[in-house]
Amino acid sequence: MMAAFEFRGSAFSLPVFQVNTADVERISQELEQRLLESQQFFVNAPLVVDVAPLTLRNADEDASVGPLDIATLVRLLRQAALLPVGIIHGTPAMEQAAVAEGLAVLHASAQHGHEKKTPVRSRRAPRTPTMVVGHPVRAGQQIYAQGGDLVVLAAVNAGAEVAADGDIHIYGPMRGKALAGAQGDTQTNIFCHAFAGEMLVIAGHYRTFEPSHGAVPLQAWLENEQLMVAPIECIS
Amino acid sequence: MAKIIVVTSGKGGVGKTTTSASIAAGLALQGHATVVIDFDVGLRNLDLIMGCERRVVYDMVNVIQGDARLHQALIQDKRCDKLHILPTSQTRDKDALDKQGVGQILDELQQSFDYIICDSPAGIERGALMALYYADEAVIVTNPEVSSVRDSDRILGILHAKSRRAEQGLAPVKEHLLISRYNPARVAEGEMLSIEDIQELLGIPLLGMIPESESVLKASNAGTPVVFDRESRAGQAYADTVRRLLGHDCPLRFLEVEKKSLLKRVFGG
Repeated sequence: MMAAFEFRGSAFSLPVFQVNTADVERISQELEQRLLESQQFFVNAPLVVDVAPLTLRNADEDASVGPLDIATLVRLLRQAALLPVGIIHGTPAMEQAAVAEGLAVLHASAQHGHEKKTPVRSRRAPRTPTMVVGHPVRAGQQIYAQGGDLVVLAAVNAGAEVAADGDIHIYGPMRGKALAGAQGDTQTNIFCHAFAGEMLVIAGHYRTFEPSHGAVPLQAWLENEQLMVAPIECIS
Repeated sequence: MAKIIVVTSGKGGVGKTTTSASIAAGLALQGHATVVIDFDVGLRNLDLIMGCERRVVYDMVNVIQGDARLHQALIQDKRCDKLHILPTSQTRDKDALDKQGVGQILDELQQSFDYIICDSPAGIERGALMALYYADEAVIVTNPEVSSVRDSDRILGILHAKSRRAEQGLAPVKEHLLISRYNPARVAEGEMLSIEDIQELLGIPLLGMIPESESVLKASNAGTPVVFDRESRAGQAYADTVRRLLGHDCPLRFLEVEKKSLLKRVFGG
């Protein structure tokens, strides 16, 4: 008989909420603004709270607002429908407060320990979060994922246009137009779960399609400045 | 609070005004205080379909501009006292409408009605935007042909982006699909899109299907919403549509190909 459960090791990549100030009031205001701009993309997103900018620099810089109040910050994030799951680079006091709020204490891997005082920014490659669209993109609508990838979980209808500076993945029926590598990146790809679309474009190279009967899983990429398409075949 | 329902389509000539008149009359016949508003400023038609064109003295534009009171512009239907119509102006254009003016009229109507039906003009310009802006629900009228489906898709995108509910981040406008001028025989021949084709393309729940019927044209010319014609298939289909709008379970009818009788085949019919 199979065991009722098992422990397994696994690695997940989680978005990081990097705190640059101890001023919770300011965080609250900017958070509200940013969530309005990004609409629903972060709803229920698990987050790791990284306080490195506060703990790795001279402590007296932000003396006016005092140390970061972890409990208030965590409540603020939860109110904004975000899911803080852990804290990293905290002082022992911060870690204790985080645990009291139900967060896990995470440790950075060895080469990025507290003592090294490496500037935070240089440790992570700059990367724009993927834009995830959960509603149908209808005729006349345009969606553009600037600087990153685009995932559409619903239909892209005839007469609609989706574009991204990175890759595009479309899981609903694709009947419209998709433009990957909108800023000229020739290494980008388009993947469609059910393709019956009008046009595909990668870095300015395009291909149009005649009306088809039935939709197929399709991928598109660039090879010698030619837009190539092929059915997606899964290796099982 | 009254429920505000916009009847819209993007494309012209698909049956928006016919549908607005019949849904409003159908709701009123079920005992709900209902007002139907003509948003097609400059191309006034609703009063003709409702058969009250000779009774229009003041219109919505007069009310917005403060030249008349709302109750002076409202016309009570002669067949059903729960039904009112707010006509529009024939001599002005869509620029006479603005969010604030329309909002004030709707606020006032909400005091005394259960349902407010907004009959949208065709297109995606000001008149159509004003008609859909305050909507709680939308009836998207679509004919079984590709251009009509495409335009319905466009107007659904606009509802999603530009309605008050979208702007204020409230629950989205509830969308209903109404397929009109449906002819099962021509669908069987492959000349028309089927209900399933349209639903797959638009991806919104089906509220009803109105079969193509001569009675619709006759009713329009006579100034009687076709829902009053209980003999006709179109009238019955509108009555079913209203029942579904009110939340009742009501199976689709008139899906079968109508067989012509021998007499009709011989003499044409």
